[in-house]
Amino acid sequence: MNKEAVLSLLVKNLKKAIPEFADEELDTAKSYKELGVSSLELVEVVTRTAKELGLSLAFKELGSVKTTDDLAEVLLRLQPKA
Amino acid sequence: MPALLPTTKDEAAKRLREEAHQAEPGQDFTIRGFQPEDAWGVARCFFEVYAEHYPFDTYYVPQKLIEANRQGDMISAVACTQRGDIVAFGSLFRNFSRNPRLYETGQASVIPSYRGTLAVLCIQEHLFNDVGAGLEVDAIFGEPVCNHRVMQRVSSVFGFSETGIELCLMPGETYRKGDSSGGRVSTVLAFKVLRDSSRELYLPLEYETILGGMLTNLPLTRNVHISTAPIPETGQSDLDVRCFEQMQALRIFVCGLGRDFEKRLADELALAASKGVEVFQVMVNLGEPWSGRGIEVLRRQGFFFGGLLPHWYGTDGLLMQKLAFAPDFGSLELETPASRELLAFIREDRAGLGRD
Repeated sequence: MNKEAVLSLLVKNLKKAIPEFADEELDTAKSYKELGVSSLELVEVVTRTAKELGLSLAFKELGSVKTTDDLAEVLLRLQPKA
Repeated sequence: MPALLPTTKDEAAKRLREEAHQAEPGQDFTIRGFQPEDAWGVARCFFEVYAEHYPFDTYYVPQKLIEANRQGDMISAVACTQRGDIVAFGSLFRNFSRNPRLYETGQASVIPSYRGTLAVLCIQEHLFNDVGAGLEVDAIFGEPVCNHRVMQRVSSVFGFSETGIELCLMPGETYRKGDSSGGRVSTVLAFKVLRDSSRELYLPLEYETILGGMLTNLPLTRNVHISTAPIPETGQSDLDVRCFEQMQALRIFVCGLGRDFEKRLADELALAASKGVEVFQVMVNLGEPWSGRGIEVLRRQGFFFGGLLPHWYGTDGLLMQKLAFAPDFGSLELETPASRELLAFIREDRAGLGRD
């Protein structure tokens, strides 16, 4: 899966977790804090996305994640190499 | 950390108000085990989240937190920034003195400016995978709520197995809204077994199938028997009774079954009901050959299946539950097929008592 596909999956799951975002164009470079995403909502996005990607996550890797772009980078890194 | 640490919550709250410390937002953080020098940072973290309103003193009084961690009553982890700010904190708690190697997951707290981070998940990973595995911990259990599925999913991600459902355990106001089961919120019982050794397990006949099925999916080595023995003639019941009036819940840990169990149980239930308790839970030790007789007594008094409690007494336990009202089974949000099957069994078991 390439970065665009991972970003699109993350945005889909973010909209699912926060229905208020459904009709919005989400800026993936904006921090979750700026977007007003709570820890619980972020956990929802990460666990749902990891499940859909079939990834077993080491969450320590996610400590520095602040934006959807950051998160996509980490998920791409964690994907098993083909 | 202040040179002279506060020794009471009031003193700590006064000092925390005066210093008005706030961690700078946007710093990177690392996750690690709690160190004594983190204690004042934890107090700052709790004060930023709850002001002085969190109901336990331990988090505000550094020496109490240090001591609880030193004694192993708590195992804690922090998210610490390069500047030394503690921006999130989480713990495991020793739950029940009959098995000091069994820990319960505690609530993790994050200061508001770090809520858009994954600090909580990182702390939980540290506690469940790294700390728990490195210390004398047999099992960890959690009670993810059923008014949404997120915490159940987190629990699955970290390898916890669902072993029961505690119907309507928490008052709805704790979570702003309940699951419409009398305004209360149900929880899933989820266990992660870290260490195990062979033990005897005496199953009540009524629950042989469901418990036997559960055992095949848990990393437990058990010599399984059907409980047929009578309660010994001698000896009285040993009950550890805990009434949580605010939660309107009663928990009775049956540490030893005696011939007086039925009467003692009836007395405790009547006393609790007179205080407004509506949720009744009884834990029975399945390591006792006569455990099945206790279950028979409980079913006669309207109790139905709650769940398996691995390592609860060192040996395993069984949770039985009873409610003073009819629960709304359809309102529970359950994440996995296993938990949905559990709920279906519980519903059937309750209906089989013919009390509605």
